Amino acid sequence: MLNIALPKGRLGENVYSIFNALGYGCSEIDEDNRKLIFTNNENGVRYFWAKPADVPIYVERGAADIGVSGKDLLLECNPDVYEIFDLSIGKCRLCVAGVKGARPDGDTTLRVATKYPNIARRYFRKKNRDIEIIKLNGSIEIAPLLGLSDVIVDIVETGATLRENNLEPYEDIVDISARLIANKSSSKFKHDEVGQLLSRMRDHFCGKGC
Amino acid sequence: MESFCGLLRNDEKYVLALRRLFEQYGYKRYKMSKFEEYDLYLENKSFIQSDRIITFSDPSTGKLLALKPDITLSIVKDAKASSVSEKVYYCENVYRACRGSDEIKEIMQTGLEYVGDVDIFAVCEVITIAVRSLEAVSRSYIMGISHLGIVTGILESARLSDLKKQRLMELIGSRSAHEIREFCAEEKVPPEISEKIETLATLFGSFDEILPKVEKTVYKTPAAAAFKELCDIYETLKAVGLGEKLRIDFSIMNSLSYYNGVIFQGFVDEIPFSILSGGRYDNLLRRFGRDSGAVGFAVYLDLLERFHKSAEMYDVDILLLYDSGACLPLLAKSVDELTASGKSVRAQKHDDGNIRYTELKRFDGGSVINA
Repeated sequence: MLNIALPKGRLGENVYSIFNALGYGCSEIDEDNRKLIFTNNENGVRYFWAKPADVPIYVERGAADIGVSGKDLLLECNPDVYEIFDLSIGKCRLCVAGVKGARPDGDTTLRVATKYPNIARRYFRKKNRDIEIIKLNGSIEIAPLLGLSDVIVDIVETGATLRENNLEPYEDIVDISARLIANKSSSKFKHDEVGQLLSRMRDHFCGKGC
Repeated sequence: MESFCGLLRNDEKYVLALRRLFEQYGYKRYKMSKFEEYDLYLENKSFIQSDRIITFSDPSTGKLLALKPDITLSIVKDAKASSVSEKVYYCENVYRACRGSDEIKEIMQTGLEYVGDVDIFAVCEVITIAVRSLEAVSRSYIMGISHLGIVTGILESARLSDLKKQRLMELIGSRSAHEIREFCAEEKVPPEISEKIETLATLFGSFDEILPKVEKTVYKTPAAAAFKELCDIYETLKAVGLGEKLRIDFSIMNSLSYYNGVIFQGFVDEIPFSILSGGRYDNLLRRFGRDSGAVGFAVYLDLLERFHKSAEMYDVDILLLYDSGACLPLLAKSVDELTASGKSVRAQKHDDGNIRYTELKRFDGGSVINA
């Protein structure tokens, strides 16, 4: 039995449909019920939905054997897990962005609003830039518009939200996509099950020409 | 003695089992103080993998001391000249933050170190004791083994800076074949070497199954000598019947500044983290200016606390209620008699509903009656 943590939301639903197509379906998940955990003994899977940022924690601590998490969250919290496959979906970039046309001075402390304080700190430390982190939990784009921060560090998918609000990306930090992660202990004891899932994943994605 | 065993927590029982095991192989206990000079950890920061250490100044000398976050450093810093071999084990509390948490915890750790004239036999013996230590915890265990000489031998052919090699080692450690491919492409590592690194990252399985694949990977690389050593170790361990439970796993990683040669990690089913970790660390001794070898491992007993814990249904066998007017000498005698019969007894005035008991009794008129 593989315990699988899926991130709540559109990404998780897309990922589940891939699992379903690979023979890891679980009819309980489509039913209209109040269950929290969905089991299919025949296919040997047990799913549950978790807040995206919590998926790495469930996997690291072994409550789930495998899980699906955005690379952004893995970079931010650096969990002690195996990152075994790039699902190549949920693609976006982590960017430094700010008000269009404005480039903050280099001679003042840069105020950075972000959901990703660790990533931002690492990135600017590498550039030797003196910064002040302002940790926000959502609607990051408002911060530079209201003068709360000089720039933001956030994920950018198409850039439409930025454009509509007179913002633009200044620098790319890293490309992001959804990754399959696995617990370091249980993937040894369930090596065959995890290995089979991984090889079906590879076949599925390489069939599409990767 | 028998009757005390039931009182011991799992981690306490394992400490006893491990101590007996270590003594069987001729290791002597090394009892140490709880403090160490802070400088030791400052100089070997990355060895202890935690920068949160409890420090205080020694009132008599003004020196900065630390509550030990690690034992190995304290043992090897005073290791004798290379001609003398030391076999020691320890069970001590260490104080450090662990597993992504910022809080410092007191962790019971036990382990064993062989410092001195280390040869392949010594390495095999330490691995044997490590495997037997896992056996003492659970039947369902896996001992993963890697050889840093194989990993560095392959990485050497990629001709990268130390920092970039370090990054590749991290990627092997997280079995990220996709990230290795991407990184190697960016750094213009030749595809055949990139493929070898990917192979190392994903290989996992029994020695019989995986060794031929490793042999193909290390062929005509600087890793060949290390491969030969790994084969010798396997043959020796097979002779004592341990071949079955060993797994080749190059995702086990330890810092090159301290470790070289064979490294290993032990896992037990249903514990999500490795509970045993060790390897050969000649490089650490070199940092202390010693030319001898060293090999050892540590077992993290804090992880065993919850393992196999049977839910206890009752707090106490007998709850004995008495009135404030009760004759105290007779009450004391009654409690004494009940405990002497092997039952646990809690005497108090009222049943406040917080105690789970199997029998409720009342002390009334100088004797115990069923309530």
